[in-house]
Amino acid sequence: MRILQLALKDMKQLFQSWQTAFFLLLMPIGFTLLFGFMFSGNGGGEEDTRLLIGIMDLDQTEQSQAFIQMLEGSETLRPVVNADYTEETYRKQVEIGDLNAALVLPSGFGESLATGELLPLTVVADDTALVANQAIRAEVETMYTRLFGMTLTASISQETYRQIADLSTDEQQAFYQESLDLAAAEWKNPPATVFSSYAGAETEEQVEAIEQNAYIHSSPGMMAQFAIAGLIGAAEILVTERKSRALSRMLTTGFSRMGILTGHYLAMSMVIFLQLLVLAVFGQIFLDLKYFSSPVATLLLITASAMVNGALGLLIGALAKSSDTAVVFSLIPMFIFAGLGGAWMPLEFAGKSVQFVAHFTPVAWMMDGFKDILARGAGLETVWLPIVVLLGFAALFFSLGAWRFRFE
Amino acid sequence: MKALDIAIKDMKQAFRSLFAIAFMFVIPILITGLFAFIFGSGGEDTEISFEPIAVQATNQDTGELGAIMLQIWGSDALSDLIILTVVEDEASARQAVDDKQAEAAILIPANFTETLFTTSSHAEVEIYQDPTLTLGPGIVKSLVTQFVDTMNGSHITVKVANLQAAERGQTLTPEQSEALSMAYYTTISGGAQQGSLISLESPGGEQQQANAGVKSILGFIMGGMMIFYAYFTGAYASNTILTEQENGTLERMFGTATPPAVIITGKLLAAALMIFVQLVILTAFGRLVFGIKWGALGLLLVFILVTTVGAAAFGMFAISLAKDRKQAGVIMGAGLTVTGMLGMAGTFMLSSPTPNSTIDTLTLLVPQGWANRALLAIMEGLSPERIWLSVLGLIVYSAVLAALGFFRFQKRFA
Amino acid sequence: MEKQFAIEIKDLHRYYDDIKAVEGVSLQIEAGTVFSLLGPNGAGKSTTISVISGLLRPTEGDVAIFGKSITGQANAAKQHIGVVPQDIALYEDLTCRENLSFWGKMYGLRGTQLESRISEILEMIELANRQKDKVEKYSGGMKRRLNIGVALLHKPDIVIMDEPTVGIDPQSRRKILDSVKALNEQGMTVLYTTHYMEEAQELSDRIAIMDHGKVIAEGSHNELVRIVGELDRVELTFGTEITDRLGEWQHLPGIQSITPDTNAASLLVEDSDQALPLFFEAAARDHLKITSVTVHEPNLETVFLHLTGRALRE
Repeated sequence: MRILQLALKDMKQLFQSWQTAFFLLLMPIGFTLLFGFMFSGNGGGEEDTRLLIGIMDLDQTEQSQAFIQMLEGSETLRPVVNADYTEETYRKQVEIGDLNAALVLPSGFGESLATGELLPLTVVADDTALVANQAIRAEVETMYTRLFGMTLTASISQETYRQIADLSTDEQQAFYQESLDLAAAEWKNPPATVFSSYAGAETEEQVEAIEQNAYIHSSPGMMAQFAIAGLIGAAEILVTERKSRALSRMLTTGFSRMGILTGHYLAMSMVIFLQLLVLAVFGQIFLDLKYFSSPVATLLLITASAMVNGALGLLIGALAKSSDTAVVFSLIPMFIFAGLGGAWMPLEFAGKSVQFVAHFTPVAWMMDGFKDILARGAGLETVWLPIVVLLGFAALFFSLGAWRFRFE
Repeated sequence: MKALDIAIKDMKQAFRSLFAIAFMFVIPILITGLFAFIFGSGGEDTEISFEPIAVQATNQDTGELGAIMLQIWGSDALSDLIILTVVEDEASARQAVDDKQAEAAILIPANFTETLFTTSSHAEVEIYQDPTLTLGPGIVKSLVTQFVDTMNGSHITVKVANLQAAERGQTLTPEQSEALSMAYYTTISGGAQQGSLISLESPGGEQQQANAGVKSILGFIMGGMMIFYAYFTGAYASNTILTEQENGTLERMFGTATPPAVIITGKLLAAALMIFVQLVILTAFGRLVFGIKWGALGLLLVFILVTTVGAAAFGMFAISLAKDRKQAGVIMGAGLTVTGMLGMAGTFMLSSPTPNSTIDTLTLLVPQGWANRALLAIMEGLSPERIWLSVLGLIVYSAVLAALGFFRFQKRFA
Repeated sequence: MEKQFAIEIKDLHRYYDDIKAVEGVSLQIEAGTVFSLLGPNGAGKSTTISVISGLLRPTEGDVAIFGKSITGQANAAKQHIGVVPQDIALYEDLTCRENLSFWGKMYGLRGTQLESRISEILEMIELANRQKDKVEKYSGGMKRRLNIGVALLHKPDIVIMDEPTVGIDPQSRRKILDSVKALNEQGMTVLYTTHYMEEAQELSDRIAIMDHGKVIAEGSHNELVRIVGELDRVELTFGTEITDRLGEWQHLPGIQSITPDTNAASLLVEDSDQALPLFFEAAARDHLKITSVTVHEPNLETVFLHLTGRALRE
């Protein structure tokens, strides 16, 4: 009973301050939205998130026009053609970020397709946009190869026919053009296609949700980061109680040390639990994230996350001697765990060794669990492992915190 | 002179404070080190290397093409990119992805070869992928598409040639059709083997090296962290006004006939000196330890000076909004985190497959955004106008904030 | 020629919204004297001090320091003053010497002048052997001494000490009182605020008693005590509650005033020898048991009680 009373006292102290609501709720919501926007593309229209690529057509042939048309049908790129722009203008647009890339179709582009001696193409892009540039390069290459394929088809067809029958120069040209047109028409409906499907997504709606929801990563990422930030206030309460000797006083009432620690721990865990729950509900309602597709799994994951963060708060309160150091000791793990654990950017961009090391942080496990729930619709059968690991972290941090805790 | 005395005293106190040292130096270096670990050290030899992608595949194809495709992907030539495991049935392949044993599964349908050799029916190759990943499955899809496109091209070539021949009352023999198909396949494959036709170039005109992006990213991250924590230092330094107010030493200072303007100037000077030292040490550290190329030295110095003033000014303004240390704590914790992270949004977007240029504009709402933009421009060697525009923007922003902060404190202590 | 006082307070008023912290205070403090402001907590002493130091602006009235107005010639006036604040106002993360050096510079001292002054102050406050220690390591008494030392760096003509002995041990308190006397012997004017009557009594040439923002009496100790004449103050403690039970006692001969409390009473009498037997009689008659009796000769406590009806320390 005393444990509960102590926990309630702590929670009352925390919730008396509007800063608690700000740190625990408003900031993570704000940053979730910000990070979501960052990853949502340029939003041409409401739904068009394709990468913008400016095209400068110096060739002005049917082939170059055909290439531009093919790019317009791309799922990855959205071509931007402005007759008033020079190459310099396009480069500037890339430089200032209005375009993701610019492509110059050089003079002789169409002819090179006909002869088979393809001209290399240069894509101008910000060299730090690694992931976007990969996508741009792959798509331009695919389209270029397809276009070449069409002209190659026309050439081969023409050459084959010439082995059968004679054609005048004009007839050859007409034949070639006809081949090209036929090839282009066939390419609109090729015999074999490749399509993506996703683990956990059974309907088209679910597939779309995965492909277009920019918050699948940012929402759990910010939850994980700000769960730690929320510990600042809780750790400060511990520090203040120690300094004011209220903790020593508590011992004189016959309340056991472990009881006192448990009471404080319970408060911290409860606060984080409520925080994560509110953020999950927010994500479910306003960001179209399926946090509660498997409610049991989600609630258990939230509980385990709250327990590990509560234990971390206890450890911080044990180590910090003043309010200032409580802030430092809270922010350092926040940045390290968030950065290393993949809260800011997906761990898949780092190597396997990094991913291995990252899983020594609780954030990486939180991210795994939440992303499995959101992207895969996973349930307890998948998420049990992150839950168990998080509980292990909670036990470790609690033990360390209890061991290091001084009441004076 | 008194202002300098106050500044020196404040600096002495700051450099004896664990809190201040942690925020000024330890955390930015730690975080940069973290990203150096994640992405590689950023030095000249840094290579960005992706681990081979674990892929499962099933081949239900009744013909040969499916097997050929799998042979290609399972070959040594692609072993650095893909680790391919062929399984008997689709369910196992899907399960492997569900269990995260593989990033993607390639499911070749039964009618794959048949479709490509006849003129009817349609075949779909399915890439069943882990939805929490984008990079690996994206590469897999790209490879599969490349192969399928080659096959499609062969098929279409044969079809077009036959159509055209038929229109002219001619018929191609099977051998001729096969020759067409081979001719197409050989030419396309030969071209693919010569390597990519697409090269990337920076807006400034430099060919992008394979790893240029990585080296730049680390620089941008450290730069972003430097700016982030420089602004913290500015607020921390100005916060000493409130600390001294609560401790009684501010009142004591007023009792010594030291005008408020001198005290505020001293505090601003303290902030500027601390930030300057911080930025110099961090840039030197970045260069020597992480191999970060900050750009032209002269421009870097300009950046350091302007950011010093900007961060000091912002700190003074931010803290002038607080009545006491508790409020200042909120401003420092929340306000600076929000503005700092918004200012760094451009850096965070580096890993986005679909970056949003509106966010890039939004970063200009905060002075940290201008500082980040200026540093990025200097590091990337962008046009002088772009560099100086960013620098000028920061100067103007800083001047306004400095004036506002100074005025507010002056009024409070008049 | 008009006499120039060290401090001259002219009809000073200081309000905080509706609260009159200081109301119509006028005082003249001669140079070379020790002047105390005596009064309970909330009397307006600290506010008065803050105005004199130039930290607060008067709502009405003015203060002159050696003829220089604290509002019109603040910087010039402040050069004459050294303030010892009630709370320790030092940089705990700096050493003793660093504190003295910094504050000396704030007072405009530089170079060898500053260095020699620091040495003198360290000797005076007996902290020379601890000068390189950070202030956070000092005891309370040591911090208080340093707090005083800082105020004396620039050799002010006037030192203002705002309740410097609150919350410290008797030994340190003794040292502070002795140092006040020593400073005064060197010709310094000392303005001293306290709510301890015995300190005011021991140190001061003149005393102003403040209550509710006003000066209710001013003079030397003897002059003030004469206000209450030869009245003795008798303090009685009872075994039961007596709040409304002493009404009849007012009519006893020789009683000037009775101030009852829950189970005690303070009585001002002309002659305690004659009054005591009457008290015992009355107590017996009223079935009250007197458990203790204390008789005080006329002092400032008595004066305050007489003027306000309340004890100086409640």
